[in-house]
Amino acid sequence: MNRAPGTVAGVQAGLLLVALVASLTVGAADIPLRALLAALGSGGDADVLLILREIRLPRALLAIAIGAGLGLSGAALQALLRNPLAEPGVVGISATGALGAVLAFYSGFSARFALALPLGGLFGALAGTLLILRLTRGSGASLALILAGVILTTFASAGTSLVLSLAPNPYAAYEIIFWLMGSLADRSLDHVLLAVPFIGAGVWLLLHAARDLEALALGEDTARSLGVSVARLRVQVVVGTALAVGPGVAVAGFIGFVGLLVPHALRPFVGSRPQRLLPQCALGGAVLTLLADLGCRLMPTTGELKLGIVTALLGAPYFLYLLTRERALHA
Amino acid sequence: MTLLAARDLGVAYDTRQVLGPLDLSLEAGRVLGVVGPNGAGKSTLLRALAGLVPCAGHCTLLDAPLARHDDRARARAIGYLPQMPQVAWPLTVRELVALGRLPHGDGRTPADRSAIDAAIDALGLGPIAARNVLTLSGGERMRAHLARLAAGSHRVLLVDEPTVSLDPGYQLEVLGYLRRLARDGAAALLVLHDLPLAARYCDELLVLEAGRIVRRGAPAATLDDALLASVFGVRGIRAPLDGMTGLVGISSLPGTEGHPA
Repeated sequence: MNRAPGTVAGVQAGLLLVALVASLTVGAADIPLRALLAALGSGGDADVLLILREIRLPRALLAIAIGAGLGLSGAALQALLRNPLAEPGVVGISATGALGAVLAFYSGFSARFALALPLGGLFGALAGTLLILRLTRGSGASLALILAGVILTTFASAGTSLVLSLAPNPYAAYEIIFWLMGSLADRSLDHVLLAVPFIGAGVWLLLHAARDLEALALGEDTARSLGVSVARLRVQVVVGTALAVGPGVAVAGFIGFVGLLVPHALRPFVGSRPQRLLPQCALGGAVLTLLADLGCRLMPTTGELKLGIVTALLGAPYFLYLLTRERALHA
Repeated sequence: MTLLAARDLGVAYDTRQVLGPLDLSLEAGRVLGVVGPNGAGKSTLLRALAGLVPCAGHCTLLDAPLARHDDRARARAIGYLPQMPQVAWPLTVRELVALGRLPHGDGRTPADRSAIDAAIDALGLGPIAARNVLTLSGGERMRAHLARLAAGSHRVLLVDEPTVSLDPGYQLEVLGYLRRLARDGAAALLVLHDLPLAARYCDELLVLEAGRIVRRGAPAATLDDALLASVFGVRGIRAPLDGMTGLVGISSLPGTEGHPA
């Protein structure tokens, strides 16, 4: 439980750097490391600069920010709910974010105003957060939060399916389905500017919740008796999660299970204490998402694989494994 | 010296009054035991005093109204240990004990460290300080939770059923330790089910029935045959104990099996 968090952070930072360089150099047009370094300096090739600025850099930056937000919010939710199966998707924030973006698309706003799609996702996530707060207000129990999340996810998924079934032309439905799969391809610096400041604010909120989350190891009553305002902490984690996850869903669709995979992968190395685990999960989420996105590009498929599919293929079996292990523990 | 006093303390869920109104005061150096049948409101009383459930009435902590203390100040003054305390994720004994310092700071100041060390020493946890709490036996785990409570340097201790699920040796050790903390200047309020142990380790007893105090006073005088029969539906067995006659066990009343009809 008290291993070497410094070493783990060092390894993760090294991995992140390698993945970042690979993400910038590998793709449809290979950019040699020398050209990348030249572009970072002053005398870069114009084409290389264009590819980096318009394609590779936004993609890498989004992968880092979205991954950090997902990994961190997964760890924070698991500590808040004291439930190892909790994940940003569980509290319904991803689903309402997706519904918001789908509505922006369906209503035609996104055709006239390019940023309407991401903004719709953002407002959807915020609406979901406010609903979660309203549904759980006064109950004081984490169970209520899980149930509210289930209700919200069901409602938002039904709303998304409704919009899909009502889509005026098959092409629109097709595009929505593709966006829902989650991808970082063809994202611009505008997407980065829209999403990253919000994700940054969410990450800040969640990292500052770590100290109070420590006390929740002893349950909500004891945490309160130790001077922790559990009600305020719950608001802080839920709002932090909405900020860290919502804009990511808006610009990149549904990228699931990062918030589940990363904390579980890191716990054997840094333990479960939130003050140790949370910063590591931000780093780990960035590494995993960047590597998964790189994997999407390198897979020899005809079209590029969707990032959301890759993380789901990795995450869903793991979720199932955790679930059966939980059952075995409670049998 | 009165450390925590409550006047007209009451707790109601919706319109149902589950506790009080009642008055009580906790004195430095003394152990007050709360006994009563299931559902009498013992744990509710403890949670109300700990500020965990909304309550009516006036509470005074260290000569100032309880409401005037902020959360941290209240947490520094009042320590709370729930019944069968839980640990949600793996922690070492030392990490668990360090959580007791949360109301004081980040657990890293010299004062924090010496309080943590002292609590670990006092409960003999030194050899297992690096062990995962979740792998300890029930008795060792309870010791670790007591050390967490002790590390908080609280003036008032509110402890709910500390002997539940412990073997007899640990029961005596836990109550003996809590009494020592009181003798060192704290005021302790213990909820107990075991009447002979309550009679032996508490300076004063408060008998709760249906949310009301039905009797309070010195243990021997409080737990007389009439009260045992009317409140608990049991009969006391008395024998010489520590140089006087004390309650050593309970038995069913003639013609009943445990609980009264």
